[in-house]
Amino acid sequence: MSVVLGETVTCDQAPYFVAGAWGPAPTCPKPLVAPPQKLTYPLGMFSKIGGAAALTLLPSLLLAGCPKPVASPSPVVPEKPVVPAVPAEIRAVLTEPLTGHDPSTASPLLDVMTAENARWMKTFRASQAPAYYLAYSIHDKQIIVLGAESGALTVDANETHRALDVEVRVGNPQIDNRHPIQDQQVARVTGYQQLGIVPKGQDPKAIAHHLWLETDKRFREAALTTRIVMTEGQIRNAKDLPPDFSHEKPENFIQPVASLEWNRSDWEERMRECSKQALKGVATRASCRVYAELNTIYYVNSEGSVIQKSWTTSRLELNVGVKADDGMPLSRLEQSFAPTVAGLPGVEEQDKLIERITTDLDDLHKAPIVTPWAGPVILEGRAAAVFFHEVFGHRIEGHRQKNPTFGKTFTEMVGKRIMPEWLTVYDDPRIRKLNDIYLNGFFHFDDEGVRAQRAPLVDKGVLKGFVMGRSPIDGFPSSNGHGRAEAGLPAVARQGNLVAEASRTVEKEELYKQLVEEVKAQGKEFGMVFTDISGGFTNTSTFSAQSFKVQPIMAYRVYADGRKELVRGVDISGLPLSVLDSVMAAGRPLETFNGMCGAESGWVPVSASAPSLLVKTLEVERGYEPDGSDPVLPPPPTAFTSTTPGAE
Amino acid sequence: MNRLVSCIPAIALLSLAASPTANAKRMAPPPTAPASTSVTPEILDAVGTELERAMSNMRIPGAPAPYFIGYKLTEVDVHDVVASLGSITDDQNRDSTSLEAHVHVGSYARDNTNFVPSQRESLDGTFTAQLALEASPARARRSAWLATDNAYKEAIAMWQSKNEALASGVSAGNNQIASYTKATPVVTEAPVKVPQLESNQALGNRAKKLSAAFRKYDFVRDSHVGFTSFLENRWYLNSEGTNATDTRRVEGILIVATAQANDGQEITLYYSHYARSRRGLPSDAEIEAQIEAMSKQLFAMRSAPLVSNYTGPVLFEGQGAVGIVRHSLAPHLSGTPPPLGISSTDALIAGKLAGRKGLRVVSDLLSVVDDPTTSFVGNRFVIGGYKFDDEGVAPQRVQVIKDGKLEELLMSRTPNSDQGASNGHARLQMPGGVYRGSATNLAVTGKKGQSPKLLRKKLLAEAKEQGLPYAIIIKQFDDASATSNTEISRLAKVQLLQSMNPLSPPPATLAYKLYWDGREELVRGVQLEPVDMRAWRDVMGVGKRNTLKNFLATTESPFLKLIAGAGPGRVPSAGIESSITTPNLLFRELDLKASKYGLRPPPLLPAP
Repeated sequence: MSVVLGETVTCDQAPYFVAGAWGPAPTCPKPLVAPPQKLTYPLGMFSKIGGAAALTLLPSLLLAGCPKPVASPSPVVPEKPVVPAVPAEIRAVLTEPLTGHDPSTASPLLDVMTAENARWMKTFRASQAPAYYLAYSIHDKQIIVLGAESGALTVDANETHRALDVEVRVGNPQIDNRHPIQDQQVARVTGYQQLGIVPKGQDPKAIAHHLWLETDKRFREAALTTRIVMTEGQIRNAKDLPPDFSHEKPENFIQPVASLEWNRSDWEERMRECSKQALKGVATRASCRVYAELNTIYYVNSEGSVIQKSWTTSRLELNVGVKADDGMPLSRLEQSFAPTVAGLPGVEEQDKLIERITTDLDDLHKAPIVTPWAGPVILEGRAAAVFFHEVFGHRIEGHRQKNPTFGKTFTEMVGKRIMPEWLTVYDDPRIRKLNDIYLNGFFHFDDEGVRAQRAPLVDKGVLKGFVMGRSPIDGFPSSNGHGRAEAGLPAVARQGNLVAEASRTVEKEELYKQLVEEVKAQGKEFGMVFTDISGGFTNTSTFSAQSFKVQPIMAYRVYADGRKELVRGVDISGLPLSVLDSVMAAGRPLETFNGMCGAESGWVPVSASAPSLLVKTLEVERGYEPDGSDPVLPPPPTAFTSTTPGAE
Repeated sequence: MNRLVSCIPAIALLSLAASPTANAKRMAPPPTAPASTSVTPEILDAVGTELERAMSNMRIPGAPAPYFIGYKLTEVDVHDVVASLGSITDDQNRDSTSLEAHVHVGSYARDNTNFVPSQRESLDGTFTAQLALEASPARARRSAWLATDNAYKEAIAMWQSKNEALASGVSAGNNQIASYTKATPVVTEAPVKVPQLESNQALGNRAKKLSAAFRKYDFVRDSHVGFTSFLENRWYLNSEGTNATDTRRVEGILIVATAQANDGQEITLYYSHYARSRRGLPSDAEIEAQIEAMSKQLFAMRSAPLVSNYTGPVLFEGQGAVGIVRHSLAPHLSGTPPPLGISSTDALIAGKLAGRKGLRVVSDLLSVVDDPTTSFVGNRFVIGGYKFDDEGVAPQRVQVIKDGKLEELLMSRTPNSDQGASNGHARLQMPGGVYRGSATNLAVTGKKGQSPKLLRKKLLAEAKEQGLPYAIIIKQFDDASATSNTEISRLAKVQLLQSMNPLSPPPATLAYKLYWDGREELVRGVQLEPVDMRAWRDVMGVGKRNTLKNFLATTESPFLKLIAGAGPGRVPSAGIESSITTPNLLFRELDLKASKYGLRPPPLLPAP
């Protein structure tokens, strides 16, 4: 099974809706490459922005029991170079949430959902275990995947699914069934993905009947969960805790149902050719896939919100791989996102991407393996963006500030400086395009019926707030439109479009110069530069160190004489506060990473944008190395494989 | 209790059982499925060439070479549609082709198989690769190369671990049994012609129409009608020279309906029918009659009382008899020894009749035959037959039990201490890289068969003898692979996991108390305690007429199936094609307990 940066887990042939980050996974054939050893996830969360490569990181951390020690931050505030007051350019195109509202396009489904919701609420109010809130969402998804490997089609799917999600809250806003549960079995089970069945089409009787069935089932579980919450010890202090749920104003937004632009004939031969073309150099495996999705969500809640939102998204994915001579599997993945397939890279740009990833792979194949090291580094644009998402972004998600099993790194730091004064950070799902790039984390309304808003997080280095769903925390009683989830999972605060603005930046050459100076100042043989990061994860559970780990794909040693040397098998690890504190300078331009992020509420599309960063000290360690060896026999003679022995 | 109502489903089932075949015999043969384009003779040649190369050259210094390599190529095409209340809820069209490599190292006398390495349970010396949709000989050969390589490395790891385990004495007398038996190579390249698949459109139209029949029953909570139409083309190649092809083809319907009893307990009924083609299924009119009968039965069950704990005679009628054979006899007919290293819990999947050849294992009234070579029992089509089993071995009709005495168990190529060669019953893949000998078309026959009336009389006489005021009749067991997606919440399933005995048969979905005066009373909550093989020696009566049931045997534990659910689409196509034919069976004494599973308060709100 390969996990990709998307809402699908693929079994080589056909896509499946992912069963949720922590839920049961679809049954797949045995993989060509043995996956990492199955893990028991610790409490709290590991977010993943990225895919297979990021997942391979987990065993090295978890099987070892705890992360390796990292360098303690210096007690003395380092003298930082003076950075000129030149901001990184930001051209943002915002779309306000109500843009495109057209009530005439409302689906009759919404009336059925509203009526059944009202019927239940009337009954709930009179019951002994009252549910005070009920939300329905029906998710329609069409997903098209066309993929080829080494010149032949391997995936060809066009599926349509409809799923029902029902949220019932029993108790009251102060304490309800979504209150953090100490019984870990109950907490785990109620956190699994749960999709209700609802008929396709618009037959009111059939749809209302299944809404009723699923509501009854969810209500029973919610009532039972609330009883468990009430009997657990923490309710003694419940009045002193922030409420479990915030009241938000009803919204009405009707977006016409989008249409999916897809012409299979445009892509079939292109994917074959792409995958054939990518099988060059040392690559023994090359695949190209195109995804096109149409999503429509019909949402109503008992507060009076009625929302119909519909959008398309598409993705082009190029992937090449080989084993290094010592058996280490190497791969390069390049993804491009766009609202429609027409916005994906054309053939010419695709050729350039192929050239880039195959050249990178050739270089990685020759590169020496990294040795553990700590010192000054540059995180170039996209790498810095992923770095921000992992190291900072997940820790400022609101609900993590109240769960007793979370580390609450930033909970008490509002108003305090946590990074250089020339850095400002916010998350804004309203940004459609940034510097001419479509952002993946754009949306009109979140999955809790709240309109998308800018969440100010850091202003001139000082922590200002959090990304908030409808789970309030002290000082932040309302959502700022970041309650997000994959269908069937409880929504929590998640990032959308994270942007780190730097008011003082230097050109890239200057940043490299500063790195070399820092190398010399620290008496190091070399510094390091990371130009691309495949993903990573961050631990926010109190049961482990509050550490992060990210996996750079392209990592270079930069010697004092300016020489660059590519290395492989690299992991970066560290502790967030000390790392943020040691950011020394930023470089132009700001760059964007689009991807999918997985956490306890499933996979959601996100973006992160940041300038390149010079960091005084980061720790580098050897990444997880799966047990592997070359095939015993050389490849059989074929017309399409490369000449290099070794296989995926 | 309305006795007339309670009798309707059984009558309907019998009439449905007889009619499709009769119709089919009068019609022209259905159009046959087109030949495979995914696996062509050229592809098979390429894969065969890779097999020869691996046998000749694949060596790791210091490790044993493969002595056996087998490939199974499988092309699957599945059309599934499910509808509820007249609207589609799930519609899937799946097709894929895979290559499964099996590598054995060592020798037939002792190899790596039938062994589960500690902490490395996934090692089994096999590897499955998905083949490209656009097949070509070169690509298929490349897939075979990689799959064989992976399987070989697993086999070596198992071999080393197995030898260490045997050296430490853990096998305890089991290591004299050979690991694998030789089989006569078979070569047959002629494809097996089967009827073509029904389109999703056609299946969807039927599912919508038939599922709409539940709209008029307000007391029915959840209901759905699912259709499946699937085929599985298979090709077997191995280093002994086998090169054979075979096809599985099934058409099926599954209907499930639930309600809530007056005391709040969830009640579920289902109906399934599997055949080889559309023509083997009941007509729409017959299915609509079935839905009506199910609905009336469900309505009656709402007010039926909960059964009390009971120890005494139990009569299994119709599908109830099929169920008790399926769940408490068929699993013990395998002669495949459990893998070394398997946990004691998992070892329970192995049969309990090993080493009892020639001994009386069931009542001398009973004989048992398993026959995968046939397609018919009487004039009824059975779906458990095939030309070659999962190891590419031609199947044999096996007289398993004759007049109560064990004659021969169902064997794969993994022998036991009594039986060596395979009799072509390898169907279920087990941990440790072996196939388990399993039932296919299982037929139980009885001597001194009695009419239903006389058998009930005998039941009552025994109950009276045991001082009981009534006796129990079971007419249907639950089938978790059909009904597991009910309304039970996740937390309730966890409680279920902690309270259920995985060795118990599934709960009975249709059960009755039979009083001395002949009165029949529908009851709920009937859960048999585990039925030991010992109980089969006390079968004291058999019926005159047989009931035949085609079904898909789940490849997973029904217990786990219940917990995990049947999947979001409630797709009715997963499992191993099987059939059971049996007369009604009267057991002298079984234990049953009253199950309150699914008991919950009545709904706050009626259906809209």
